[in-house]
Amino acid sequence: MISARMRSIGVVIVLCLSHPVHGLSAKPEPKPERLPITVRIDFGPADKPGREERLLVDKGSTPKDALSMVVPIQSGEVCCNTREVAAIDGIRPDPTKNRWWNCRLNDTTNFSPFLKELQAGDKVEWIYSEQLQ
Amino acid sequence: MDLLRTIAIVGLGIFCAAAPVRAGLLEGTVHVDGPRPKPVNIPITSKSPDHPVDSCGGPTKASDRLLVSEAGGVANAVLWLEAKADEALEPSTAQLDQRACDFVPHLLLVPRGSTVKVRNSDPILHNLRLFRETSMLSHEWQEPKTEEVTWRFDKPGRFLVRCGVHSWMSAWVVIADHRYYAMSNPDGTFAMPDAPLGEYTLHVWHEVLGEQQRRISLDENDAKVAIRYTQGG
Repeated sequence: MISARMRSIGVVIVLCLSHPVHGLSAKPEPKPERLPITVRIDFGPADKPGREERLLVDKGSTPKDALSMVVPIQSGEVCCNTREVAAIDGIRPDPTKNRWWNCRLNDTTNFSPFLKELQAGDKVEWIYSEQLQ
Repeated sequence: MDLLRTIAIVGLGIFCAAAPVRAGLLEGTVHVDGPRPKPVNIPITSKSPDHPVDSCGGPTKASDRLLVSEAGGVANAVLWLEAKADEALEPSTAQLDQRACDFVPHLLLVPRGSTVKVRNSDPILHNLRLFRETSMLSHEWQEPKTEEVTWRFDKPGRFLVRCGVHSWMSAWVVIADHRYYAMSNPDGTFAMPDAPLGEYTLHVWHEVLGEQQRRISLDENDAKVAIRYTQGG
C-alpha cells in the first residue's frame, strides 16, 4: 500500500521535472523594436491646454495607439467604424457646433488613424477644430 | 318614451360631434434686436482632389443658418405650444435636396411618422449624415443623380443633417408631435391657425439664437405675440 503511494508521488515528481516552468527555461523574448515619434494634441475651441510629447512606440503602433499613450481616449463610431476615436480626454465631436477631431500624420490626412503603422520620426497631430457653417 | 329618449341622445351626440372646437389664431413675429447681423461668409474649399467643389459656387458662400430681413425678422424659427402628443397626426412626405452644395430647404417641419426623401441634384458626391444631438443615426454616400435616401421619423425632436464632404452643409428636420407648431417666414412672421383657446407655454427655437419660452393666453380675440432675440441668444 505504502509502496504504491510512494510510486505515485515519484511519478508526479518525474512529470513535474520533465515539464519546465514557463519563462524559466525558455529563451528570453526579444524586446520589440521601438520607434521615436511625436504626438501633438490641439484642443482648439474646447479650451484645454494642448499637449506635445516625444515618445517611443512599439513597431506596428498606429496614430490612435500613440494618442492613447498621452491622454485617455474613448473608442466608438463617429462616422464609419467602432474603432474610431470617439473622444480625447473627454472631448467629443459636436455636430451642432460643427466641431470635429482630425488626425494629421506628417501634414497628411489621407490615412486611417487606427490602421496606419507609424514610422520612426513621424509626427502625429490630433486637432479639434470648429468648421464654419 | 324610450324612442324619444333614444332620438334625444343620438341628436345630442350628433350636435356635440359637429360643434366646432373653440379655436383662435396665434400669430406674431420673431425679431432680432440691434444691428442686422452680417451673414457668415464661408470659403468653399475642397478637402481632397477626389472631392471637387467647382459646382458648389464660390469662392465663398453665405451661411443660411441665420437669415434676418432688413426689418430684423428672423426666418426659420420653430414655434410650438406645450401640448399633449396627438396620436391622430397624419404623417406626410417631405423632400430635402442637395443643390449647389446646400441643403434645400434649410429647415423642414413635419409631423411624427413622416418620411423625408433626400435627393442629390448636384453633379458631385455627397455624404449624408443624420444626427440627434451627438449621436449619428445614419451615414450614407450619395452619388449624383442616384436613388433618393429615405428617412422615416417616428419620434419627435430635432434632427441635424450634415454632409461629411462639405463641412458647411447643414439642415434641420423638426418632427412635431401635435398640430400646434409653426415656423417663421423670411420676414419673421408666423401663424398658428386653429390653436385651442386657453393658456399655454409658447416655445421658440432657432438654431443660432437659441430657445426661449413664454406664457400666452389665447381667447376669441386671437393673440399676437412678438418674440425678440438679442444677438447671441
